[in-house]
Amino acid sequence: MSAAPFLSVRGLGVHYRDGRRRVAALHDVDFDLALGGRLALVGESGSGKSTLALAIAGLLPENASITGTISFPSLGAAPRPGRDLGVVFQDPGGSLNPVLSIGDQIAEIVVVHRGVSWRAARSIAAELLDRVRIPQAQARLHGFPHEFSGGQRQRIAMAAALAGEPRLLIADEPTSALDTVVQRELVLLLDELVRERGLTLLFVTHDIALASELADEVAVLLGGRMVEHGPIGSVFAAPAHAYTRALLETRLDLDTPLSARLLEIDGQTFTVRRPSEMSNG
Amino acid sequence: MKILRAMILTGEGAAGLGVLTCLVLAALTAPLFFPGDPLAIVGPPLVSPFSDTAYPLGTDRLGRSVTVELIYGARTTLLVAITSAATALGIGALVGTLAGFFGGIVDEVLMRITEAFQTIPAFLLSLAFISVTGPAIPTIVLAIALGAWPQPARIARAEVLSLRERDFVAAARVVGMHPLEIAVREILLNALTPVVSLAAVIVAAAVLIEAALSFLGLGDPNRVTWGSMIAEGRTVLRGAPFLSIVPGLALVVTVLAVHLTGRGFVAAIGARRIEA
Amino acid sequence: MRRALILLLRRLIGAVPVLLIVAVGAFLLLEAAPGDAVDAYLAATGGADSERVSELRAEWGLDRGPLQRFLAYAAALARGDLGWSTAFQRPVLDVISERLPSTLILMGLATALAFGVGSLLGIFAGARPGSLRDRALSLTSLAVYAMPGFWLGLVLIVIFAVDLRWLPIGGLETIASGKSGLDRFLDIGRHLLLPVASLGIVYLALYLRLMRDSMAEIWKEDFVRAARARGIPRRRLILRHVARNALLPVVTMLGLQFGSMLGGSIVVEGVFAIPGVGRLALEAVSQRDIPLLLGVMLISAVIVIAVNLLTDIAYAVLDPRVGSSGTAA
Repeated sequence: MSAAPFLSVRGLGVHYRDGRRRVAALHDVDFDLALGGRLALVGESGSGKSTLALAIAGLLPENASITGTISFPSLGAAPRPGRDLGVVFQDPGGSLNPVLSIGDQIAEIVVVHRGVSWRAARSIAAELLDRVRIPQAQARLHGFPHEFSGGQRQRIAMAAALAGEPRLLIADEPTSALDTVVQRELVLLLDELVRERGLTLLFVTHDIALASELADEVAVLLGGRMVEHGPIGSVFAAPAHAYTRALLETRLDLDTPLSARLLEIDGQTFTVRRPSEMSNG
Repeated sequence: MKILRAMILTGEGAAGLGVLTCLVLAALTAPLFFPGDPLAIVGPPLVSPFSDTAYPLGTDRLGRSVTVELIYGARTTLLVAITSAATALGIGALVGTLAGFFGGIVDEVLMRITEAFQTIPAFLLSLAFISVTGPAIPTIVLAIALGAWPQPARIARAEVLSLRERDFVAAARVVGMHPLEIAVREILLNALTPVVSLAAVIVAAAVLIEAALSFLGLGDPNRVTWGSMIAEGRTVLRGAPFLSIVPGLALVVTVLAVHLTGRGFVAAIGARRIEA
Repeated sequence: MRRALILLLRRLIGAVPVLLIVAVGAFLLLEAAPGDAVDAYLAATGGADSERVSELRAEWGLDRGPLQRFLAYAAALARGDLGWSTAFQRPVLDVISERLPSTLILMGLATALAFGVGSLLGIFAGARPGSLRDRALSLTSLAVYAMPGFWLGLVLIVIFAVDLRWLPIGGLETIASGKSGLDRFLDIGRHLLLPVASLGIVYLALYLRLMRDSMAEIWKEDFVRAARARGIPRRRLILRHVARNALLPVVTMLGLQFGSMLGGSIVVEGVFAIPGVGRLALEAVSQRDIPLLLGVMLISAVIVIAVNLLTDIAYAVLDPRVGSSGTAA
């Protein structure tokens, strides 16, 4: 009795053209995501997790080429950015236009997708800002991005992502650039928003602990391939792939550079060692 | 020399260098192929271009060959443009380095002077200077350089300041070199790209200013220049517009070639950095 | 508004030392020129005996040392006295004020053409960097920017005034036409068409390239990708997000390039016989009227400073980040 999945990815591969070379970022990725599901994409840097998220969002750079399919069965057509999917990026400073007020930027999205008047859009924007806990939202509509802190800007970005009332929210390491206290607030907010709007969530993270908090399912990427995918409970209790097992053993924050790690995963045997004992450098 | 190769690989660099090389060769070999006075009368006046192989580009109002005048004009243009650009870069580098090195009141004063020179339109400054000194190649070169030195000065100063940030004085002491020695080396290395593209801009501007000055009759009276040719042609504009148009085209091609060479250089440096 | 006013005040104060230095430069050039004001006066009035000459020198303060002469000069400048024009036998300031309106109109129209049309074409080219229309426009503008303004003027004269006879060859208006009101306005307009085009087209190419290059850089910014992700339609994206940000460095250049255009207007006025300040400078050169030439130089400096001030204010209005001390907590 399985309904059609919301997102279906089959045989997805992504190459970047760099000068005369072709660099493969993703190989042969297959998975489904049901409506209302929450999937965490976990992996080290360079594993292809961001590439996967951006490919689904349709935001790969020009020098990228895609093989395989990404389909949204229930949408009937290609997903409309902003309207069917919303994206939150990693860098809070960079995702807002510096010369337009935040009210204008969010209202613009509302006008484009919901076809209401600018006045109505502005009050919807104020509501959204209030919902993401920007204090004195009505007054702050006229504020510019540089007047807000990093955490606030990320929350504004979330409001912008949701302004078009999308079904799927894609978040590419939304908290990585923030300090831990601010991270917590953001994660809680994200959780609330997804729950109250019944959104489907796809988020990229290097932090396994974060994944276990927010997600129902987890997919592990290594070297551009998806090596494991399943409900978060079962994957963490009984990982099928040696790499996942090693990850959980170390409870590594995968963002820590190789040299700083006390324990390291051997890339061949997927066993855990101290770096000094490693066979390969 | 790898830079040169990289430059030729970019379309712009190839075109620019090609044209400039032809120009320089033509200018240098002019006395060989066209000996004698370029202002000598060689034939009937106002012969149209492309009508007579003896005078491929025609003759002017007095019967002088446009082709010969054009080639000799290239000599003046290149001479003035290159020396004034070099002078401007030299003055600018000196002022900028002094300002950045000493800082404080010296920096303030020198920067205000730089600003003052930038506030007066360069051409007007050249005009005023020439009026006082009289037109001759050295004064023309100086006049153009007076308008162009502020920008190199700012770049030189910026380079020196960035060096100071990097605490190179202490490093120099460690290595055993005099700070000034390191400063000069570092500046030269890092400033290469902005200096070369700036040099291209200054040379191009110098070509145009020299042309404008000689168009107005303020060029060296003993030399043929493209600007003076255009001015001469103005008197017969109705009947023989080619006399003004042809030297102008030469100017456009030269300035364009200089710009393209500069852009080719910047692109080549950029490409090499990516590959490195 | 307060931000802009503070900026204005700071720039005005900063302009004083600059003008002072320009005055010093002008003074030095005056000194370097052969003969002084008394010689010029005597040359025009037919000479006098040496007693009278010394008298005049004393009267005009020309027998004192250089520093005192400079102070007298500077004091006169502060009063608005720019000296005496030997060629026109009138105060320099009067002569310049008469000619100033023509130049301001010429410069204003040329700037509007260059910046207005240039930016729009730059946006058009920059909307799709690397496309055919972008490369065509970029190449063309490179060639146009290489043209000398006076040569372009002559070419336009040949085409439009000589061959096609649509437009007049020069002057500001038809002499002794007796026209007034709208007729006169149109007449002046016809006369200004070619000069404005000669001056403006070259700088149009510059602003086209600047805007286009700026847009190419802005396209790479994160917030543009984010705007696309939010579903902002292409046209809005290009105008409200990319172009609006790309405009900022181009506005800065507007101030910096104005002086260059002012210099260019000198020759253009010469070619088209426009009775403006530029042509005045040429007349001063040919008649060796150094005080007049220096007066023009000083007034030009003032105009450039004023325009730079205006562009700074415009920039402050366009960029909300100007003048803010940083992010809130």
